[in-house]
Amino acid sequence: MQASESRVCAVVVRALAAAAIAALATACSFATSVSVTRQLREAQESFSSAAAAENAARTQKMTLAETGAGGAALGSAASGYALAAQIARGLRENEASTLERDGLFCPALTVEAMSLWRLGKRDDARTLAENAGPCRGVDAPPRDRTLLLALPGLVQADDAYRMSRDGVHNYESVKANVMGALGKLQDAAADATPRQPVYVYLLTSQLAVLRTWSEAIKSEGLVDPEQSAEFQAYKDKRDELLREYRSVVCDLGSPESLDYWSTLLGSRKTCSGTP
Amino acid sequence: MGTAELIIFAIQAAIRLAEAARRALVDSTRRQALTLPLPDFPAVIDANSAADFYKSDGSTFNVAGSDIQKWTDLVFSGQSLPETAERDFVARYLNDRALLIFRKGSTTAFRSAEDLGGVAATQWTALLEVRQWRKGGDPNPSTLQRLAGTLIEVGVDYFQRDPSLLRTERPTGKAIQSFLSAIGDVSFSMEKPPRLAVSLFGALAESVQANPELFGADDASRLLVDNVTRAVAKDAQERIAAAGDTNTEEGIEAWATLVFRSMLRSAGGTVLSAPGLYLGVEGGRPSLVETVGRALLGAVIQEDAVHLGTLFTQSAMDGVVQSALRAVAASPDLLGIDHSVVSALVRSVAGELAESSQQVGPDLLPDAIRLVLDKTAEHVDLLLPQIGAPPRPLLVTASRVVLERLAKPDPAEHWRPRFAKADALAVLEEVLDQVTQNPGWVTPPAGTASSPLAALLDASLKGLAAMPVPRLRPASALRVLRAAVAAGGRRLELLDVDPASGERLATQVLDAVFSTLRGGADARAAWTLARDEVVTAAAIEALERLADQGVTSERIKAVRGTLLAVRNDVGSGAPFDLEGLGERVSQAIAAA
Repeated sequence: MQASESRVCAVVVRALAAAAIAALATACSFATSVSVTRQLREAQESFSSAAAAENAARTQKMTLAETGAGGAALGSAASGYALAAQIARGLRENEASTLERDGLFCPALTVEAMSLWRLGKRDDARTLAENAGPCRGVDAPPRDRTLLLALPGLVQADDAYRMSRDGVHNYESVKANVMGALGKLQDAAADATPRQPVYVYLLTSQLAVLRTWSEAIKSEGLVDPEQSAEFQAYKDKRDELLREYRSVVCDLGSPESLDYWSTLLGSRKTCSGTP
Repeated sequence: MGTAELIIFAIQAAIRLAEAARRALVDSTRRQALTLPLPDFPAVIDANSAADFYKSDGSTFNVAGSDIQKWTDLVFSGQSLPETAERDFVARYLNDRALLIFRKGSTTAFRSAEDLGGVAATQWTALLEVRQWRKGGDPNPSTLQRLAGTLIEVGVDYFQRDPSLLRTERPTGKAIQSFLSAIGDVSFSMEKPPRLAVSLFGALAESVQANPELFGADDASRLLVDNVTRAVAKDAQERIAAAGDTNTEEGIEAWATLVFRSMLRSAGGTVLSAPGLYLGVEGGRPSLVETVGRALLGAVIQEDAVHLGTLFTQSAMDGVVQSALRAVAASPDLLGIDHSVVSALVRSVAGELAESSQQVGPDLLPDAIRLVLDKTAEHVDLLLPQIGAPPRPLLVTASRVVLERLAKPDPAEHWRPRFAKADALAVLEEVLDQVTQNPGWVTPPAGTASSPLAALLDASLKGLAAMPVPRLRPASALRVLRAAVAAGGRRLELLDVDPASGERLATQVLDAVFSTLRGGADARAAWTLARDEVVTAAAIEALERLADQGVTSERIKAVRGTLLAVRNDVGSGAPFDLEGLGERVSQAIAAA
């Protein structure tokens, strides 16, 4: 009877020990993974807050390059992007295996590349995006893949805006960047589908590029007939993109969005009535 | 299941749960929406926008020789307009654009440039918050799917003795199915919720196993579980997401499980007897059960850090749940227009009474909450004069006044009766009845700091504290205190201050009885009159007779004189007759 009891005890002790070892191993891996994931969330949240602040400041004639009245808001956006880039880069360099195992490598790389772009480190951002390898492949998370594909176009859009504002470049240089940006953003949009959330972002970015183009047509000393031809090209593109934008955002119940872009670009398009 | 298997089972369940939690966190990070920034562009609607319009869609307004044509040409030639001209140009543009849209048979709200830059910008920037996957396109398993393994283990543990409880044709099976469906719909976005879901499932499984009869009516029990799960899980997960530390998160989880279990166990009978009333949903508002569930969870997890600690046991919470459901069923006005009244009421009772009730007795608070809920429902016309407004806080204030006085001895007093929970509740009930008859009890008269209720309780307790030893037993002191409250309800003069002694008349009445019957050196008189029941009865008689006939200092002196005479009579060997005492006191009062 006693022997039988001690055998049962031994079995129980072995089972408990095995369970404890398994629990310990799991706990170590668990703690690292949770810590890495939480840091990435912090980077994502910091990036989103910065972007929200920057977007809100748009209507007050501010950009990251133009501090002044809105300096405080943009300063906080810059800090947010810097923090996001720093965390994401640290994770990518030191915790790559954990990120890859959990499928978080591409989200981290995307946050870093997008943050670098907004911080004005255009070449670093472009290089990171263009060398993203599997994160631009079909198995990558769709939003992140599309953003990495679009990033060179976003950088070029900023270049066009800067050239147009500086006024030291000729119209052809600005237009080359406008066309480059529109082309890359369209390619990225073709990779997504209108049903994907990132599609609206790519359309909106193209409308923003159009607005830069519109200004360039008037500020680069163009004269007719060349100016009229350029304006006609701009108008055709504007109408095409606003039609597409209309088909997406009016279904999303956001007619004010179309109203804003349509008014900004001098169009009469609204969500009501015929397109 | 033996102890060893239980330990192993628990370890395995914990590991699986932790892994499920980690995977849920990873998934939510991968799918986390990002707000995306746009490339730089001129974002303000200005002369450039206007010029584009008059060169394209609005060309019919661009009449030769007009200001419009002049301004448009200037913009196209790369020149800036003077500030006033630009303002006029943009204003004309917005008008003409709205007119054109109208002519084309469309409509749009006319917006100023500021509106478009503000309100409309808020709309388009909202579209820049971008999810990783489109709706329904996320390939990662849901939180519920991640939890499946752990939930199965918990289910096996509970239902292995009677698997038929899980059959979906039976009400118990429908209840469990309903829980899983509801918990799957709750948006768990952070890392902690899986544990909450497992705790709630454990509570449901335990209730189903222990009381399957509670889940008797098919659709009603399914709806009950659905309502309660959504209310408690959603509310708790929001609080967990906002919590700053693990201790707080675990506390919320434990409270949520307690409330959930109570709602199932206690609400079952009540709710299933009138499912239309409790589970009906009208106008998109939450059901009555859902409202009560949220209210109670909000009450026990207060943001102002009132630590209710161990005040709510499971059975105490069961009682509060039943009382709250009864109260809102009896008086639907308690729900309020947005179902906020009952929630505010429970929260305010718990918040106001938590500290003092703990000093009176550790489990008093739930009963105090029940009492206030019951009385509020009985007197809803008085306490809720306006539908939708918060209830008048009369009962909460009165309860606080009572419990504070029963809890905290006056530093100047050497003794105060120590009331048990039942005694304190009896005083509280008497006071609440008085207050519902005369709300003036809790309103301090002009120029004074104390309400009549506070003043009377202080005066009565002072009278009790001053009595010579041996003092009254708590049960006797309670009877005297209730009589004093009842007498005070009839005679406000009991609060008058006697100019000679500086004491309130209520104190003087009690002193007249206690010092006379328990004072004196005559052993034979003391043997009869100092008995607890005699002193108590005499005090009650004195209070009632004075309340009947009117209270003055002179009349209290007459009472004292009568009691002295009785003492002398008894000391001389005369028999004591309580009824006769009342008559003599009455005559003395009338003669004074």
